[in-house]
Amino acid sequence: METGHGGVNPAGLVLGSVDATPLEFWIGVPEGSRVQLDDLVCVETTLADSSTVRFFGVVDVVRKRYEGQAFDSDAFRHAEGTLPVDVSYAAHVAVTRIEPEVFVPPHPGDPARIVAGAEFEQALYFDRMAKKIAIGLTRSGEPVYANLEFLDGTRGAHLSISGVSGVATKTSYASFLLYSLFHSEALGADAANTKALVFNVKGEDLLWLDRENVRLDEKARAGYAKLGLPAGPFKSVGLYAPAGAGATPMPDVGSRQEGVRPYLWTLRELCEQRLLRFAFADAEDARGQLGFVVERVESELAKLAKELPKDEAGIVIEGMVCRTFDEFVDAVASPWLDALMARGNYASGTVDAFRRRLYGIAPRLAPLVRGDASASQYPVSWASHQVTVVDIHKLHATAQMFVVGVLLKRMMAEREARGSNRPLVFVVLDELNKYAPREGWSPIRDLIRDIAERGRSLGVCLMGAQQTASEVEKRVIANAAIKVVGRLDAAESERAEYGFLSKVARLRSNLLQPGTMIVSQPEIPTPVLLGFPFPSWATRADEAAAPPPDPAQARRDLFSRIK
Amino acid sequence: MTPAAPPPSRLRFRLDPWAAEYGSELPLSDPAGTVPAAVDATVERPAEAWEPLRPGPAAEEPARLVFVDGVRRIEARVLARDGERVIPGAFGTYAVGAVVVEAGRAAAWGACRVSRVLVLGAGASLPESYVVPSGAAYRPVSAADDDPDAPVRRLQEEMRLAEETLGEEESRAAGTLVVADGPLRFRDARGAAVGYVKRLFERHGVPLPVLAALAPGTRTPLIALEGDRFRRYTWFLRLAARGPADFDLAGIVRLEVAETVGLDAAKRLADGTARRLPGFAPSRQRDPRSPQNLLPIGALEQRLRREMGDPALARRHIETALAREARA
Repeated sequence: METGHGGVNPAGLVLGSVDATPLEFWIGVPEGSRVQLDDLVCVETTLADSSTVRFFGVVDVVRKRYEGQAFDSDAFRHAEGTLPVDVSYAAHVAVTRIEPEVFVPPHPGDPARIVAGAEFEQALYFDRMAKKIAIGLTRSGEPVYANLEFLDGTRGAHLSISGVSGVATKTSYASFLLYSLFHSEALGADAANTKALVFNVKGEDLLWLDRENVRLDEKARAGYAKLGLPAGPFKSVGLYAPAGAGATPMPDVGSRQEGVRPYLWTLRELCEQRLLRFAFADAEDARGQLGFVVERVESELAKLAKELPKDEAGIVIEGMVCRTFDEFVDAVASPWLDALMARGNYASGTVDAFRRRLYGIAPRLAPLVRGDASASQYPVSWASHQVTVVDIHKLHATAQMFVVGVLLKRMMAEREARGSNRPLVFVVLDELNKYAPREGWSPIRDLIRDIAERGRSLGVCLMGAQQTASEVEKRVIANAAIKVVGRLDAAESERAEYGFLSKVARLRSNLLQPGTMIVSQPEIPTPVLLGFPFPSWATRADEAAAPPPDPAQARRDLFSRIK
Repeated sequence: MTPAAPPPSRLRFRLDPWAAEYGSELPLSDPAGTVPAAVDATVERPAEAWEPLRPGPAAEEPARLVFVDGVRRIEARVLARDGERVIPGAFGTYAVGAVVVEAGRAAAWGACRVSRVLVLGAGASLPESYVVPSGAAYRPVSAADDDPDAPVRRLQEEMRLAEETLGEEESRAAGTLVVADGPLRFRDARGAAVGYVKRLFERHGVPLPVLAALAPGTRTPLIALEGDRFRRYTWFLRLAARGPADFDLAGIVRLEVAETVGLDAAKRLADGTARRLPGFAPSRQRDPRSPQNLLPIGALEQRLRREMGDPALARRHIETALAREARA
């Protein structure tokens, strides 16, 4: 019987000594051929009616052993040259696609070939993706794509990256995805207005996105070329860092000052927009009556803010004009608070607790919330650049919560007011297990869950990252259409949150090297292991190329020389 | 894969429904009465100087060893009626093969030949191959005797012939020493083949204490032997130390070489094999026929059995063919 063709040298033949099924089968690999993990293979089988069915699949197990031998010592006997052996080299194929969809088993003996190019794309359904974004390269160098419709809200949204800190390269991968989005044709007509808001949670990796990486080698350049991407820095980046404690707001960052704008909020905004709750976002604040006290104070402050003159940045409480956060705290904690609370049925202990917490957060928030005349000049604006990086890594946890909560709230409010799912916004936030923990409540957790659940219809795509998906609010993880893991802790990889990983993929996730990820997306029935090229943008000071010359600065230099 | 046409002969045979190997488990060693007599036990040493000989480090070892062996099996027994006469017959398969061991290299498979035969006793035969539904063709072979075991003996003989042919072919390559299973069946004048007899049925006059005293890797002096078709030199060799419960002769094999190679060449071969072969002895856990069933031979037998195919399946195809024929 003629059963398909595998070229002159098939990579292997479907085995008949174990069951071959439509969803998985084993192939035997002849001497001289090589089949490795992650190879994509195609087996063509001919049916009784002479029609052919093609099985595409990914190799997820490869093994060799002596055939028909039962003794461990066989290896030694063979090595000393006294025992002849047959080696069986076989690969397990997890089927990804059957064309046409006739679910017959492949025929033992059918040749299998390793696919590349168009057939590779077919094996992973790239041919069916109308809008696709390059998300990495297989180890054999074939580009891998994701269906953009599962990120832009058309059919789904959100992406979740899990992995051990330091080795999983979560932040690098998220920035690579952003780079791919903004520097390819993927977004099409949406490209012009799509924005990204990136929180820089750890280190200063993301503060150099706009600089070319001088360490980029030829291999990485070739990787970008294969993916159809230019190799360079992000084209449009806005950098923000929290204002330091000084009277004149200066960005509080370590290695880079130039081009980084400080950000802060006015006391008026704090009151007007009811942002105080985000200063009380610790898990312990959620307990008891404290939340009610915060709400009561917020609503009273909002009333006071309405009475302020138009260009006032501070707040006036009982005739006291507050220009700094400390003054604000003093004014709120004054008998004004007792008078306010007297009207409600609040335990005095709760009011005292509120007071204590308020004094506790004062030093954390003082640089970030001010009431002086110039304070309103330092907002975070994500409208002016494609990618806006907000640095929070040097802030105290309370202040980090505050910044993330306030910005996300503003984002959602803006989107709701617009009432459309365009233009798109991508939000990149690491350490979701801190901001949206599975246990406990916080206003930020609610916000992030809201983004996860409604973001799709509002055009907000959350690219969340966490060490352990098992400790993040379930609905946040469940709503992510595309799931990515880097190196996982062995115990963590066994959790139900990683059910999308095959048994083999779970084992491999414990061994992943930096720069290698396993990506699962709705259309592809198997998780795909891929690598992404070394960043073509700088991730620290010594990688950064000199900034491109600023024409205005050049002109000033010229004049200074003439003088 | 067309169904087998009934053989044109009017000889109609039917299955003997007992499982094929019942009653055929006779050892089929060299037929009794053909044990060659020792003619001269003093060709290498005078009788009074007999002692175990340990080859020195200078002993020449063959660079390329080729182990040749065969396996056989009865797949179905049949009976045919010819008037009052009942003719015994058997469907059988045998395979012969070789393992090549070269110095400094891994042991590798050599040739492997599988043959299927239909043996009929009492001189009966079919004019052409009998083809079963799997497509396997059984070559017709005739045995002269009409006793029930005649077909099995004939099958054994066929296998021996094939071994002989393969052994002779392999021995032609330069620098090769063929270790052929059983007594040497072909005359070899170049010292390129030895017969390897695993089981000792006959001591050829060597006293038991002499054999018992052999240490692993030592051999007896050569004995000149009258044999079937040609004269030969033979020697005994102990492959491995015997276990505490073993009989004196455990672990001893007999090797032989054609006398035509000359006494000096025979001595070299005896020394060479005494140095080389113990290294191929399997452990007792691995092989119940340890140590005589050398590693390459054990592995080869396993491979040959696999090449012969599944015996139950073979029998089923034969049954199907016979049943179709009976119905026709």
